[in-house]
Amino acid sequence: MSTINPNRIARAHARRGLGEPSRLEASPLRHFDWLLVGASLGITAIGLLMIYSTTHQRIPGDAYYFVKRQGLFALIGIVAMVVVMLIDYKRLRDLPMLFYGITVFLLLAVLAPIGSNIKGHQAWFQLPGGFTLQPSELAKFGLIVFLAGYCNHYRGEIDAWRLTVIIGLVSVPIGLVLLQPDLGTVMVLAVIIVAILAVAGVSGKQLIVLGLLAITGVYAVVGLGLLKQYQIDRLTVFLDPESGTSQGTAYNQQQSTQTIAHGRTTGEGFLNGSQTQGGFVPEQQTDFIFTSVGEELGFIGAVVLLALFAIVMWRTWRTARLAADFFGTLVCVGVLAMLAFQMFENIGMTMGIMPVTGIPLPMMSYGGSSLITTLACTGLVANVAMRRFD
Amino acid sequence: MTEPNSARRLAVVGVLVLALFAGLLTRLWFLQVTGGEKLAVAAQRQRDRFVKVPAMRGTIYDRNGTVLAQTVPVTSLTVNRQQLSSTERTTLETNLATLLHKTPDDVAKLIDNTNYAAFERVPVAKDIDQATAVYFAEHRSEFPEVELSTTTERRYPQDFQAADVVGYTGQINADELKAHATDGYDARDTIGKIGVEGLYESELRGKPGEDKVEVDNQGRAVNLVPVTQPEAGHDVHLTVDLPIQHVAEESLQQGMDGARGLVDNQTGYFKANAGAVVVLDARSGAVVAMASNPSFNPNDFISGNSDQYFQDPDNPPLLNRALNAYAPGSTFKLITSLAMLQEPTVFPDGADHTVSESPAGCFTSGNETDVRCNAGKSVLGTQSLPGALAVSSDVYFYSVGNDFWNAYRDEGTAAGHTGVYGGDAIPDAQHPVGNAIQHVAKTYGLGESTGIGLGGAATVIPDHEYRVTSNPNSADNQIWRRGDSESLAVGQGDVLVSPLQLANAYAAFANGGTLWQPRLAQDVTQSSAGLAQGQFGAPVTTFDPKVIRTTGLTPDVRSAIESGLAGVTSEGGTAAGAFRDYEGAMPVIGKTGTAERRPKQDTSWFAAITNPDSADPAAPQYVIVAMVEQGGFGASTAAPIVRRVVDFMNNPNAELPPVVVNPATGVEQSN
Repeated sequence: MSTINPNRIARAHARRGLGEPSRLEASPLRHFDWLLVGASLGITAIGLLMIYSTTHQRIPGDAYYFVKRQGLFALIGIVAMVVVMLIDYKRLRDLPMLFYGITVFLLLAVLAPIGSNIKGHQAWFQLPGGFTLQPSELAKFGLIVFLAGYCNHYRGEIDAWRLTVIIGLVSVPIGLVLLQPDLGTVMVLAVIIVAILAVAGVSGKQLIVLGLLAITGVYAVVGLGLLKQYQIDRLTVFLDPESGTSQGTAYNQQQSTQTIAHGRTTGEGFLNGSQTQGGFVPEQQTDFIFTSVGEELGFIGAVVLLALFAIVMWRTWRTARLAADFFGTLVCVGVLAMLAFQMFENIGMTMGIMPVTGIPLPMMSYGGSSLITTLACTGLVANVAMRRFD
Repeated sequence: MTEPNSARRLAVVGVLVLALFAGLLTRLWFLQVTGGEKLAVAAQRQRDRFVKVPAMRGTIYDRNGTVLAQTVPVTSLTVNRQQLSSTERTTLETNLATLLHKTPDDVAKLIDNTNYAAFERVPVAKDIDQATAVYFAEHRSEFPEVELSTTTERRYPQDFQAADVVGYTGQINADELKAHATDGYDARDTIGKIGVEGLYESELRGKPGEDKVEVDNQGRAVNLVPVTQPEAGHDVHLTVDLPIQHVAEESLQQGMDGARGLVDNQTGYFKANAGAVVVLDARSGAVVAMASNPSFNPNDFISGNSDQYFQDPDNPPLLNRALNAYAPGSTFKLITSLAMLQEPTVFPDGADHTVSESPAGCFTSGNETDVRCNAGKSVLGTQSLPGALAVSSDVYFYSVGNDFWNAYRDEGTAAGHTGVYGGDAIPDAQHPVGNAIQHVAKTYGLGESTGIGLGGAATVIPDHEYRVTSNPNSADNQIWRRGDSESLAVGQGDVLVSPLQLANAYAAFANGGTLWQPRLAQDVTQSSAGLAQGQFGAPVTTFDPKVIRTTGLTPDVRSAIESGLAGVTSEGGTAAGAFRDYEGAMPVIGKTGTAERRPKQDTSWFAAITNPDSADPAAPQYVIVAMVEQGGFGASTAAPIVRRVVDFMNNPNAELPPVVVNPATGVEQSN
C-alpha cells in the first residue's frame, strides 16, 4: 500500500469521469477491468474461429463438432470466471492449505485407476459425454492460490528454513504431475513457483539455489527414466537437431514452422491455409493452434493476437502493482507467470525457438480444462483489480 | 501493494514478460515478413526420399452430365506405427478391432501394410461414418498414435447401373505394373481395371505430385517439402445416356426373369442365366447404352466386398456379355441377304429369288439324306427374300447357303481342282463368290475387333482356312462342306459374334453403308474439381465419329432387305407379337434370332433399327440389340426387351409397362 500514489488514483478516476474516489460508496464492480476481460474473451473467440478452421473437416457430417464443445467449455469458463470474480478474493487468502489439499488430492486421484490414459499420459478423468477433465490444469489455479496465500502468511519471514518447507510442499504436486508424466505442466508450475517466490521476497542467493535445484531436478528426472524416450527426444532434438533421435518431433516442428512461414505478412485467409486445411500439422487444434493463425491470418493476425495477450498481461501486471494487499499481488504474479510462460513456450515451440512440450496456448488451444482454468485465473485477476481500493 | 523489494522484483517480472513478447515478435518477423522463405536445411545425415502424392482421379459422366464415377474426400483413421510401443500396439489392435468390427489379426495386417514407408501414416479405416469418428474423438486414449485424416476414395453413385461400361478401379497388380512400366506407377497405385476406368486410365489418372521427405539415418521423417503439386485427372464424358441405360438394364432383367418362366420342350425351364442389350447411334457409332447381366456394383470393389463376384466361374458377373461371343442365329440372315443381293451371277432374280419347301417345312440339298428343316418343321411355304426374312425361313437361307457352296466348289473346279471338295484347294482370295457371306460379314465388322477398346471374347467368321487352323490334326474336320455354308447362312455352326459387333453391322446397314467405330466417350475435359455443380472444365479432347470403312451398300439392296426386316415387326412377322400396338414416333424394323447351342438352351436374339428409312437428323436412327443366353426364341424373350427400350426412347415420360415375354405372334414360332 505504501507505494501507491493517491494522485495516480485520482488521475485515473478523473480520466474516467468518476470524480474523486469514494471508498464508502464504491461497489467493486465500478472498477471492473473491461480491458482485461474483453481481451481474454477476444482471445477465446479467435480460438473458436481457429478451432473451426482446423477441425471443420475432421468429423464427417458435423463441421462444428469441436467448436460446439469448445464453445461449451468457454461458457463454463465464463461462469467460472464470474463466480471467481464475485467472491472477494481476500476470503481465499487464509485458506492456502485447503487449496493445497484439493490440488494434491485431484492429482493423486488421476493417477489411480479412475483416471485414464491418453497417448501415454495418465492425466485425465473420463467424464460422461466423451468429456475429460485434466486436473493438472486445475492444479495451476490451486497452486497459485496456495502459494500466494502461504507466502503472504509468511511475508518477510521466508528464510532458508521456510523456503525448504515451501519446496517440500510444492514438490508433492510437481512430483505427481511428473508421474503422469506431463513435463510441460511441470515446467509451468515451476515458473509460477519461482515467480511468486521472487516477488514474495526470497533473496537473490536463494533464487540462484532454487534455479540450481530445478536444473538438478531435470537431470534427475531424465536420468531416473521417469520420462518416456520421446520426451527426452523432444528436448534433445531441440538442443541438437542433428541428433539421430528426432522421431516425429522435429518433423512436427518443421511442419509447424513452415506453416507459419507460409502465411507471410497478410496470411492465406481464413479457411484458406493449405497447410492448415490439408491437415499437415498434427494436433493443430490443440498445441499447434497458433500455426493456423500464422498461416491463415499472417503476421498481421499474429500481431493482433499477441497484442491481445499483451493487454491481458499488462492488466495483470498492473493489477499486481495496484492490488489492495500482498496476497492479491502474488496471485496476479502467479497468473502473469503462467500466462507469459505458456504463451512464450507454446508460440515459441510452433516457431522452432522452444522445445516441443505439451503446453496449450492459453484460451486458444482446444481443451476444456485449460480454457476453464485460464478464464478462472483471469477472473481471479479481475477480482483483485476491482477490489484494489478496499 | 508491494514493499520496495517486491516492487523492484515485480518490475523485473514485467521487463521479462516484455522480453518474451519481443522475442516472439522478432522470430515472427523473420519467419513471416523478411525471412522464412527457405527454412533451415535439415541435418547432414538426412537423405531425401520422394513420396508420390496421388492426383485426384477424373470424373466419369454420362452424356447428360450425370456422375457415373467420382473421387471424393473421405475421413479415415491413420496410424503412425513407428511411434507405437508394443503394449500400445496390442491395445490399439484390440480397440480398433472392436471399433471397426474386425478381428485384431485383420487390424494387425492393416497396420503392417508394406506399401507404406516406415515414416508414413498408414490408413487403417477408410471412409468412416460419423458415429465412428465421434466415438474415436471421444475415446482418443483407446487409440494410441491414431488420427483422423482426409483421404480420397472412388465412388460409383449409380451402383449397379452401367457398371460394365464404367468398370472399377483397384490396386495395381504385377501384370499391370509390367504393362505400364514406363508410366510411373508403383505398387501402391490405383488403376482402372475394366470398362471406361481402364480404357481411359491415362486421361482419368492425372499427374501425381511429389513430396520430398527428408529422413534421418533410421528412415524416420524429419522434414517434408512439396516438390510438385499433383494435377487432377481429366473428366471423361460418355456417349452413354443413363436413363436409356437404366431402362435397357431393367428391361433385360425383366426379360430374363420372364424367360425363366418359359419351358423348353426338351430341357425344362429356360435358365436365362445372362444377357446383354446394346443401343447404338447408327449414324455415329456412339454407344447409347450397353447393358450386361449379371452385373456387379463397382463400389464393392472399393470397399473390399468383391469376393461375391468370383463365386460362379460358369456365369461370371464381371464378363461384359455385350462383348462376349455367341452364335448369332437368324440375326445373321442380314449378312446372308446382303451377300445374296450382291451376287447377281448366282442370284439373277435378286430379292425375287424364291425357294420352295421340299418336303414341306424342309430343304433337301445334295443328296436325299441331307434334309434340313425350319425350327419345329414349321411350314412357311414358298418365299422370296423379304418374306423369308419376315417369317425367318431357314429353308430359304439353307438354300442360299447351298447355292453359295456350289459356287465355292465351282470356283475350285474352274481353277483346275477336281473332286467335290475342290473348293478347299484354293485360298479364300480366289473365292469372291463362294465365300461372299464371309466377306460381307467381315466388311460389316463381324469377326473383327470393334475398336471400342474394352476387349472381349474372340469372334469367328468361319471358312476353310479357319477350319485348318482350328483343327490342325483332323483332315476331316478341315473340310468346308456344303452343310457348313448352309449353317453359316442361318448364323449357326462355327460363327460367333458379339452383341456389339452385331449392333454395329446393323448400324452400317441402317445408315446406308458406313461402318462406324463404336465409341463410349464423346469428349474429355479438364477436371471439374472446384467448379460449381453442373459445370465442366475446358475441353481437352473431342472424340469425333470415326469411320472404319464403307461397305458398298447400294440403295436397291438396302431397300429390299429393309422391306423384309419391316415385315418382321409387322403382322405375320416373327416379332409381330412383341411389336403389336406399337405407336411410337420412330418406326421400328428388326430381325429375330434363335441360336442353337446344344447342350445348352437356345440363345434369344433381337436386332432392331429405328427410323430405318429416314435421313432426317431430327429422326434419330438407333440400333438396339438384345441377347439372352439360354433365353429361348428371339421373338419370345429378346424382342419384347427391345420393344420396351424402344418404347422408352420414343417417350421417356410415358408409362412403361414391364416386359411381357412370349407374346402371341399370330404366326407359328420360328427362328
